[in-house]
Amino acid sequence: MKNKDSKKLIYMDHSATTPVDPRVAEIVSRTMLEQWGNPSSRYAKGNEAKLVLDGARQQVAGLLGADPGAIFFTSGGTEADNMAVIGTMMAAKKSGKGNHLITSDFEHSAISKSAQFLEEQGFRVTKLPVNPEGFVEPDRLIEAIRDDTALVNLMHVNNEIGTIQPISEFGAICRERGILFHTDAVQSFGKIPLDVSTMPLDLVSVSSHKIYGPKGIGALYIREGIEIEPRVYGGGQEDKVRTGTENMPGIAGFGEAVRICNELISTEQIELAELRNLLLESITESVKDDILINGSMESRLGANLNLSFPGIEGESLLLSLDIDGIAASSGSACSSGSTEPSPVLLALGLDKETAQSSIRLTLGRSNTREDILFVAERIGYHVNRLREFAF
Amino acid sequence: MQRKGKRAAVLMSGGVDSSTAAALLKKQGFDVIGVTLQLWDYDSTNHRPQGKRGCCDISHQMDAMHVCDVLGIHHVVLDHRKQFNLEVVEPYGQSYLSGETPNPCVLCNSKIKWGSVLPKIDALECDYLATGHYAKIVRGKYGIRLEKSIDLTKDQSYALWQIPHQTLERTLLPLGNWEKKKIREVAHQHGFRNAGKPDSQEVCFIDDHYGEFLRDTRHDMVEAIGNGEIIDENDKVVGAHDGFFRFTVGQRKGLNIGDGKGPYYVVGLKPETNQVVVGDLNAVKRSGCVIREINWISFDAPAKPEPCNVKIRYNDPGVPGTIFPEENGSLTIRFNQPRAAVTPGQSAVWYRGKAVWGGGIISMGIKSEV
Repeated sequence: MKNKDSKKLIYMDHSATTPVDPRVAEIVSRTMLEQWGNPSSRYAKGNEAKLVLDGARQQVAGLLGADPGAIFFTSGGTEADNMAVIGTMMAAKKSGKGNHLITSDFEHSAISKSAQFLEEQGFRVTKLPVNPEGFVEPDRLIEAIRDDTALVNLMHVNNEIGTIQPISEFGAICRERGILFHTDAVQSFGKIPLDVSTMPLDLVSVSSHKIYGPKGIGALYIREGIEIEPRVYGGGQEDKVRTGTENMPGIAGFGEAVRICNELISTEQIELAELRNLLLESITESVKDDILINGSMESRLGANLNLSFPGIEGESLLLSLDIDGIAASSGSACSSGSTEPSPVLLALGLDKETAQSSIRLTLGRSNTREDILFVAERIGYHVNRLREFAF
Repeated sequence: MQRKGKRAAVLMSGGVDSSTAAALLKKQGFDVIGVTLQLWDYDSTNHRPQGKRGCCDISHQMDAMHVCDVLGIHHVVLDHRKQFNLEVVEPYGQSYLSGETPNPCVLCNSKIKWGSVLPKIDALECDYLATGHYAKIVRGKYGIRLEKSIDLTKDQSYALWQIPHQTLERTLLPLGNWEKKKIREVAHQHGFRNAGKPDSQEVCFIDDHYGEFLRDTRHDMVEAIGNGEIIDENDKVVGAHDGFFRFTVGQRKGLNIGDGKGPYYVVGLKPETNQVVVGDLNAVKRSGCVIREINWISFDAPAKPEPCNVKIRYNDPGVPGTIFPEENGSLTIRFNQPRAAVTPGQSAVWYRGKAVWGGGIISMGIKSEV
């Protein structure tokens, strides 16, 4: 937006998306202007592109501890989730390996809508509950498994409350029983270590725009030997699993974003957690009355804070912060626009009013100590003001 | 945070008028925030046919966002779909089905814009609520009042009679001293992409005929009503119709009575027997009307009968009459000359000079005593 009185934007919604790293933008630009060939072409210009494609695939595979041949580029996290859940279930049905899917109550809509689609197609779906701390308990999974369970899908880091789920335990439970396990790692990839060579994961969805890469590109890791029914038909790219001429600028940018994450992964979340803790501390000081923290503060993504301020409308707080130049959200950007309470917070057991008094702050590379103190001061000011306000 | 001046929330539909209202207020030094209300959900109702555009259509929201971007002001969307459905759309249908003819814009102004929206903009620390209505707020020595706009061809003061007096203090109507064609010029000067957009017409959530809307939204009730008779004032059957709610008192067209004795006018509706009563021009004339749900917006109720100018529908230029306030707070209006089409459910708005004195809903017409 031009002409906004040069008001500085303080961006605290990094779980919705991230600004593209300038180094990534440079690679994207180079792929469009210089290495613009089709990687399927067999002359030099095509080979040049093929090298770019291969390099990016190696970057993504490297951060996952995967074989590059097991990485399939998609149009983003949503498509990867759809492919994993629908593709696997369709293939399982075809080969008679069962038609029961287990997922949870607080998955991203890319999963929950896929599950709904499968149910309409006659598949059976079980949704595991989330405990008040924001975790799916492994015992619940064990109880839900049936003879015809073909796939278990449970997210790694929840997009709204940042809780890190025990996916290694889930994966182990599945592997012992010969059931496939998929995790949606869109919120964790590039932030906390994920290693398919040591963790019992069969399918992993990842996305680029959450890690300072371009939008419209993501990938699905598919362990070798797993059958997926393709959802797109055409020229046979990406080993026929996801056909169509590759989104080369997106893929190259994704590769570069992953390379940068690889450099930072050991320290970034620790630093962000320090800032996040300062933010929580400062908000606790500036807000006069009750604050509820949604989701456990143990085993949680360092960048995530999700708070309820009972007695106010979260929408009014977010719009007031927006006027101050602070971008935060009420929950998933993919379900916002509506003022309905967050299904994730409801799944934690919050009542409707409390859920609607919540905001999510997710920190990232651009946030400074000064930003944190300013945001905490503004939140305190608005929450105290709105609480005195009689609706 | 430094506040640069009083903050005004301008309700921006994406049309030329509210866009220009935002521009004018910014020029006057207000800290302006553009607010677009989402009132109607086309995805879920699926009522609006493809290709047609309603006022809550995303393209209009984008127009408002574009204008705010050009002006360098903040833009927010407030979702008031639930309230709009409850306070405007539901009563609208109810009114027709009880044999009356509603003014949904009046309800939207009082219940939504000057109703549920006010606490929302309070929460955003706004001092004023502003709209692109053609009407004036005049702050004078006799207090604050609502007046007609100087462009009488565009005057919208009629639709504002129901907003509470105490909200006038917080209201800005920057277009009241402007002519419409000048407003378009200002919009063009700012380079607003919606500067040439046609004026909105009719009821924003209705595309074709309200009868079709009622059939779609209250299907069972409308089916149960079915077809009925058109009768004259002596109960003689002169025709047939497909539901009394499709007719409005004073209506002449669409009756299809072929007895050659016309023209016929709708004189009354009988919901209990699903009958439409018709008569000649004389039969549809009324010397006055009984008013309910009265709001004294600019001045208090007088102690004795007072002359005034009365409008009984949106495009009515107004006629002279007298208001008779009753002890119990109710009100009767007498017109100096009997009027045709005094329609129950419509708003009657009485003026003292240019000022909107008060308004109310017409309960029934009073028959001429000739």
